[in-house]
Amino acid sequence: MAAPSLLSPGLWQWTLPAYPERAVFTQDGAGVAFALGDGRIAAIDLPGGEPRFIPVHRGSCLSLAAHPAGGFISGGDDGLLAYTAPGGTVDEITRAKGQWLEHMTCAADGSTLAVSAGKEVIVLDLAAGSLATLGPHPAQVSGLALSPAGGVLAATHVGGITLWDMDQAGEPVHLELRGLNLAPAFSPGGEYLACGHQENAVNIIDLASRNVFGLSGLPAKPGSLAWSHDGRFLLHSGTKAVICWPVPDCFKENPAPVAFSVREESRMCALDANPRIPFAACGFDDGTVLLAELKRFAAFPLDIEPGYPVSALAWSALGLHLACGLEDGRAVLLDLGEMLAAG
Amino acid sequence: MLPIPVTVLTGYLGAGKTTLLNRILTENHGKRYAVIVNEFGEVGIDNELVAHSDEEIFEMNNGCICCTVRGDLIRMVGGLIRRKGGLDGVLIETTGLADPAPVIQTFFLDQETKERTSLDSVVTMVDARHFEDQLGQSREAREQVVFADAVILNKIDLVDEAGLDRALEAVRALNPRAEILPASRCDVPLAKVLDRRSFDLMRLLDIEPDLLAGGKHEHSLDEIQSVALISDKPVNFEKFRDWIGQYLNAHGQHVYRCKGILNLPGESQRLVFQGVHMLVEMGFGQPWKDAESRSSKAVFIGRNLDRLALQIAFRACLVN
Repeated sequence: MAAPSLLSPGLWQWTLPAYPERAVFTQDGAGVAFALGDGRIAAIDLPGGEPRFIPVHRGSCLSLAAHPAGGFISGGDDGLLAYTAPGGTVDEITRAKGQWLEHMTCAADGSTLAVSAGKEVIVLDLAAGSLATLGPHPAQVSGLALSPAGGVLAATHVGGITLWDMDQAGEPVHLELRGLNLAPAFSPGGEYLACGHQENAVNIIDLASRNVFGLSGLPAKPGSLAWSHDGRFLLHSGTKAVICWPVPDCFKENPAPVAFSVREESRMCALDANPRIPFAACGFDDGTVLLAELKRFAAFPLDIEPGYPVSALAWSALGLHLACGLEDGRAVLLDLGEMLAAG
Repeated sequence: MLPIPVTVLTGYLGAGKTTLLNRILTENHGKRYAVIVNEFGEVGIDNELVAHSDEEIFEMNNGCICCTVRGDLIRMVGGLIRRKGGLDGVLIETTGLADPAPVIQTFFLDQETKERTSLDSVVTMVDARHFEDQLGQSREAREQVVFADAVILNKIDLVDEAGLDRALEAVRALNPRAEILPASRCDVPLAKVLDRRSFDLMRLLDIEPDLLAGGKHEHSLDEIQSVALISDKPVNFEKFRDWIGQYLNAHGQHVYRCKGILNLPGESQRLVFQGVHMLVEMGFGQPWKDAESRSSKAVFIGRNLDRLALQIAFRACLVN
């Protein structure tokens, strides 16, 4: 069970004993880790290592990020924010009693990390080793994103989005949007902020003009949003196809998305865009993972046995590896180079 | 994955909810129930199966002011069911002053929650000794009884026979539909609380004849009432569907619960429906038995319902 099986060239699969909530690569890209529903972290060395299980949380491990100096930071539904060193020792960073530390985001360079704790957000400056708390927000924080340059933190909640200036302490900016907002995502250039909405809708905000492009009537709640590496397209889950909205063209009249690879019988429930090449990984609730090519607008499925929804998707920082978790506990790793070399 | 049953436990302050929750968490019943308690609750057990939530009600954007849901529950129910080990059920405690509607509506309106869970029942705990006073003082206390599928009439050891009768009568007057479970110190069988399948349309076989006696239970204390509609004639489905949609759109704010079994012409199965405020679910239930009289029955419980208007509208949906 511990050793991976090779599904097809460049595609490895492990069977983990619990639901993978999140997947994340180490800062140097040499390892991958999964946050598990039994409170442990499963750490795997690439390419084909056996998982090491590190008990960290009492309930579920809900959020996970790589520490720039190695190791991981994780949050759980036990309120614990913990640092797990590469050797496997676990240290408590802080504890938010009674809160679920569910949403986590970190800056591209890994220096700043933010995690939600009820109506507050805990911010770690990993370079300085300091901790601060932002909030309380008007309601429980339902999603977090740091802008690519790390200067702005967006927190979604019922009633809108709160934007914090990370370089200068002061009152945050509130953008009003009725209902429950979630899954914020800054465009790579930082000019736009997109977020999902409980009622099967997506909003894209032009941060300079505060214009909002809203699209509604999706088949399901868009819980994952991702920008193509060049910022030309916004993708979102909750669809029955791969849907790419052109930005900023969508702010003009009668915008139309590029849609391809329609899957009538299932819905997209996980999504991550490759940070360096025009590729996105799209996970569906029937267990299909599509590798979507955002130049030719074509997609092909990975050779994974379907049956259970995709619960986690993450590309490595260099975009060479894709980690994927399925609800039945399977973890899959794609080595893009190896797969493409094999044709 | 099978949907996980969810029970909503309501009850006025001091009725004994905490005692019941502690029983569910500590008794050796061989099952794993996760319990969501409100943040300021008093459940004394620090247990990995207890989750604290901060009640967060918000309106849906559909323009309907009674379509409120609990954002915290969407998040927490989703998180709990993903945990390893599998759960036999989730129990949600609401505060003594809470309106049960947003809790129930969350299970109708959030797609993921709806797909992964099945709302089992709303159970309301009532203090037999203090219930009459509370009814007079608190609209919440009345509404919690009205929403219930089962009422645990607790602390009956603290009242005499006449007191018990008065409490029973008061509960029945508000909600003739609910099963009443008398108890002292919450000693009800947990199976009666946790596996009722009240929202299962397939299980909705009949509506209690008592309920249909009509008018008998008019209550002077409150404007809350139940209106029962019954006919031996079959129902024209299109007419009924259009009417109930329009009716609930206009009056759903005042309709707490509705439920019904309809006889459609030429159909071997019952058409069943049930609703909470403006939301209604319909589907085919159990087939009619050969010897059974196929009557169509519906009941509406709410505030200031226009009995006559409901009867006229229902009659207009019948096949002549």
